[in-house]
Amino acid sequence: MMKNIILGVGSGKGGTGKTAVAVNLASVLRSQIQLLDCDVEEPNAGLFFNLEETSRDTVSRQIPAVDPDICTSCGLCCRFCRFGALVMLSGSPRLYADLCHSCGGCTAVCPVQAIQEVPHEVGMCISASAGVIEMVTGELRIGERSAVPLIAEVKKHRKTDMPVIIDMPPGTSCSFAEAASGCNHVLLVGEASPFGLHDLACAVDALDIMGIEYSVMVNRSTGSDIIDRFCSEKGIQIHAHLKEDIRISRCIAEGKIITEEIKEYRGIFMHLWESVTRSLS
Amino acid sequence: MKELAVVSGKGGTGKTSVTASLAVLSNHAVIADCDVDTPNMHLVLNPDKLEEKSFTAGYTAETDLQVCISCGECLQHCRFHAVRSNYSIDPILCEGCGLCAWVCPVHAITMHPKRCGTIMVSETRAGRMVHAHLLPASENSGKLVTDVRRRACREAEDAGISMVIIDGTPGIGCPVNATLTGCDHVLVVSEPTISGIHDLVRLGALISHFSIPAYLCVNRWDIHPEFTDKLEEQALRLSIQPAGRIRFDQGITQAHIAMSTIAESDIPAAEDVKALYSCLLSYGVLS
Repeated sequence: MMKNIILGVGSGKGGTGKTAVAVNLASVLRSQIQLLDCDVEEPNAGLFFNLEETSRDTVSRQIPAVDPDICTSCGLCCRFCRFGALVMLSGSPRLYADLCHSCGGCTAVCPVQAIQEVPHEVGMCISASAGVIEMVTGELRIGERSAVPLIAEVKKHRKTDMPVIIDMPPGTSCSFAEAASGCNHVLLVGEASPFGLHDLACAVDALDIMGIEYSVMVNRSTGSDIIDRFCSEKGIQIHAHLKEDIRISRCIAEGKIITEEIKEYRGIFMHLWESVTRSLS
Repeated sequence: MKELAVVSGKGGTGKTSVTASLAVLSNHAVIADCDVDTPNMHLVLNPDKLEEKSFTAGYTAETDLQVCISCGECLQHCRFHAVRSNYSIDPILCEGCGLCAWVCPVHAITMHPKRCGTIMVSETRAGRMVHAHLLPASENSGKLVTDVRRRACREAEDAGISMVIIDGTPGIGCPVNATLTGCDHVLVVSEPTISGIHDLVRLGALISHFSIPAYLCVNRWDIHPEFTDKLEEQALRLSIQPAGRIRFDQGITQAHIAMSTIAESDIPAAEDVKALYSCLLSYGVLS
């Protein structure tokens, strides 16, 4: 088995089964593996395990704090800020923290060093374990807008002596790109529906731009072969098909691991893992 | 002008299917597809494009390597790891802050406006629709959402329509904040799973931040009736009013393949979305 593999599990569309695939792959191996939940807006992978928490840390990014006693109201910081996060209001710079990207520019350009950086909480990074599975979860603070700094922090926790699986966020914007960067490979979970196909194609475009390898597994494949046709046209490898199965739906609904509840799926997920790792080497 | 935002927290609960059906049933609203990175509304509403323009937001840095003296100031100051070892800029990592250009002693770096996507106005059988497409791996989804909403409101005003229905994104981050800001009502489409319940709690906390009256629709409710009860109880604790349940119906995917909405199809779930629509009408959420 490849010890230093980093496998992202993504999809484009939400609710195609990313988390279910990630947690079942992590469980089926029954050997040391790390699972990073980078869907920090709505992290759900942890709901499938009996976790023993080992640490819980606040994650912050730096935002500026202007010392009014030193500030000369020159306005340079506000003119520099391209995000509109610092605005001159009645003669002094006012910060809109939501808009700040924590670039540090205002602090660097201030001619009188009136700006210091202070931490601004973006969420929590929680480490936990469930048997051989080591898990790190990011949990975005409610009201915080950008998930990117927290995803970056979760990924800093990755281990190099065991395989790593990343549960990625839906969509194909900056959060998806942050979660994908540094992955050896992304397994895209495609749902056999028009929406599933469209969003899978969006994810494929994003990964092509980033130069990251990917392959596909098809979920809810009953009744339509639109994902298969797309992949065959594009030359994308498909590892497995999961049919619509009410037993799977109930397992996932109740936060249970499919491969432990329904024996026939053990082989399917083992085969999926072997097929994905084989395509890497 | 009334704006109804349809959001979900968890992805893939059926936001777009429900929104498209409500739009068709209402037939008197402008539609705003604010799921800008993975928009799907056009797949069922078959739009005729009237207008398309590019969406530019923020900046991206570019190094003139002929002028660059390789002093490394930009590399040292950039917090986004966007400066490559040869001092060119990675456009995906660059957030456009301009600090590299500021510190460069020989002015080798210039900042360019960044094209992040496309915004479109179309005609559909359910009415006027404003939609967009964010370029893959792009930033500024929140700004694009705001632009789509603003344009949809303008289209509605021009046509004397008083209702905008917004299809939102999953999650609780930037685009969801931009979708909820200033909305009049929010409909949460969720599902009876442990993840659905967990995500409703986080979304509910965000909605209460904005103090917007909120309603719940449980999709695929019969997959797990006990969890449906739990989900609705949880919603009530979050001051979210249950407004409807939609059954699991494999005909929905077939309807979408035929570019039809649930409401327009002869499938059992059509009854459920019609009941949801009537309920939202009676609450004054739709007009």
